[in-house]
Amino acid sequence: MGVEALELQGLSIRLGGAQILHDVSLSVPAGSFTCLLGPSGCGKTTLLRSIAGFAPPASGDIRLGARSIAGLPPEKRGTAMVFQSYALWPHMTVAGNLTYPLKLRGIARAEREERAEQMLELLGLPGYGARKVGSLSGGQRQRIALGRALIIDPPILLLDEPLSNLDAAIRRNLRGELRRLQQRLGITTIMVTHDQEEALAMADTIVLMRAGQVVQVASPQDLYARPADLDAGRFLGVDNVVAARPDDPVAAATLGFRSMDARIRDTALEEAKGNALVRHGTVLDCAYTGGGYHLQLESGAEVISAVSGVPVAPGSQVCVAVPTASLMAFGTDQRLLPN
Amino acid sequence: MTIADPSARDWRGMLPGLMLIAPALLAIALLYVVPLARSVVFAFVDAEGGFTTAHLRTAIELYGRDVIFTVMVALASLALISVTSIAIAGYLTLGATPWAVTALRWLYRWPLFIPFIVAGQTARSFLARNGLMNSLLIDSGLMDPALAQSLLDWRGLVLTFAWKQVPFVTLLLAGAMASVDRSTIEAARNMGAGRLRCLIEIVLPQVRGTLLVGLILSLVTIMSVLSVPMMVIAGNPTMMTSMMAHRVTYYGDYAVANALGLFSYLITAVAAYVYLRMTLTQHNEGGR
Repeated sequence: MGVEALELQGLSIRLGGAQILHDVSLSVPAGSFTCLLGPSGCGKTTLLRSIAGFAPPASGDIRLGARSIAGLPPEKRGTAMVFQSYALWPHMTVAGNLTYPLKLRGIARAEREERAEQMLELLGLPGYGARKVGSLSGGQRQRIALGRALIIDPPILLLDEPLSNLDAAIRRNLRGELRRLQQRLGITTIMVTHDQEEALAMADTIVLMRAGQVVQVASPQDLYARPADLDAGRFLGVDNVVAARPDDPVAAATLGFRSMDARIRDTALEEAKGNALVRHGTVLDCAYTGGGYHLQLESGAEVISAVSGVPVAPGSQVCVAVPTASLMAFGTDQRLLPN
Repeated sequence: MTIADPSARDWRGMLPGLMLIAPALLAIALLYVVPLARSVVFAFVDAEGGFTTAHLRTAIELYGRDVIFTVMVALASLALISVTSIAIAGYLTLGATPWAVTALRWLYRWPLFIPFIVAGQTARSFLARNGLMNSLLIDSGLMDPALAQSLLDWRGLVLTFAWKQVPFVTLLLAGAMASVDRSTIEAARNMGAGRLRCLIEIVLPQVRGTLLVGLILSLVTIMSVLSVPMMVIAGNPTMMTSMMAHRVTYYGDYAVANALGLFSYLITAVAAYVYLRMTLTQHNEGGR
């Protein structure tokens, strides 16, 4: 079918009287990997389901390549979706699950079986065709669900939190595998996730959503370094927010930074001034986190999280410094200030 | 006695449990097992108390056609019941028009609350040659009056049984379909299956067991209802229940009635065996 671009124009969705999506516009280039990222309830899954045809739009348009698909029933859209619960058909074998979409397309049995074999080969599960779905592990089910979606050679692949039900180690493996597979096939992919690490590691573009609206569309690097506002920053791991002072290196209402960028200096060095944010404080708590120590310190009315290579006794007076490059400056409206 | 017999000790351990289930066991034994055994035994006992197959032979000779008729009517009813309840439950599960789904959900259960005798009476006035159905068809110009015929034969029985049992089977089936993982249906639609294919190839295989339970319970009901064949059809052949009642009320001949009853037991026993085998297979697969 070939790879196609997806375009959402002013999409609004109401479900049971509640407005789930507000006027969402988005363009997804052909062959790209886009992540819809956001906290639960932000509407990202609804957005994905509306592309597949399971959430009828109240207004707006969805275009796949040159055609509008907003008015089509799910079975006519040709999108391939991988569900969070895998949604494998329990009454069919693995091969049955893989070949059913081909059967629906009227492809002859011999070719169906051949393509299922090839797909199992591609997924690294050769010889699993005759097995019952119930006998597979979570990771294997996930792969079969992915194979079932890919076997129809769809113009677009939709992934609904595909890795969230898996163990951390399998998740990391599958994450890389999924990304490599996507790049090899060059298929336009949209993935929903609430895991920022997953989105950062896999996506070409991240669409950050909140309360039914798109907050920011950016590359992982840009999103990580320059979140659009304070809430976006907090969602992306900016765990320190302090009121700016006149002698800080960057002018802003509030400054945000991640605790991993905040380093403890045991001596109050003034040389850092000018190219770093410096705060003094009393250590409240010091916890070992494997590679180093995580500290909470009280600086005036603010509590700052920071890291240290060596343990620091609670109660000690310390100085914390954050390099200017790691600071994010937010205005009084909580939006990121331009550089 | 210093050393307790181990088996006696086991029995003493089971005693409280046995006492707890005793009332239920007693009720089953007195109300079900004893009458069942009695009627089976009496089918083979002659006037002098000896063993005989004469009653069975009389039953086959006089009522063989009715037994076959009963089986055919039951099978036709079950076929109609399955098709209709699959269609209704399927629409309740996959229907896309909310008001139609709500209306159907509200309507389909009504026959559940209507007794068989009333259903039989209604069927009689609805399906007769100059009954309500034919009048409506003729008045609306859909049917030539000369072609009007009575449906008060095997067709009337099938329709009445189906009308009465469809809501029951639909109730079970719609419940089972509602608990099918919704995403398996969505996955099929996403892959290109229309709603009808979804129903037949994705939903139905997952609720097969429930459908079978509904049909077996319906079979037992059809085999035991007396009022409907009494009301709906006159003459021969008719359902076995009708003939059993006839044998008992007019001849006081319990032996032949019991022999006829034996056929009912056999037919329902076959269905029960099929059902048990299927649940066991499913159970084993689930445990694996």
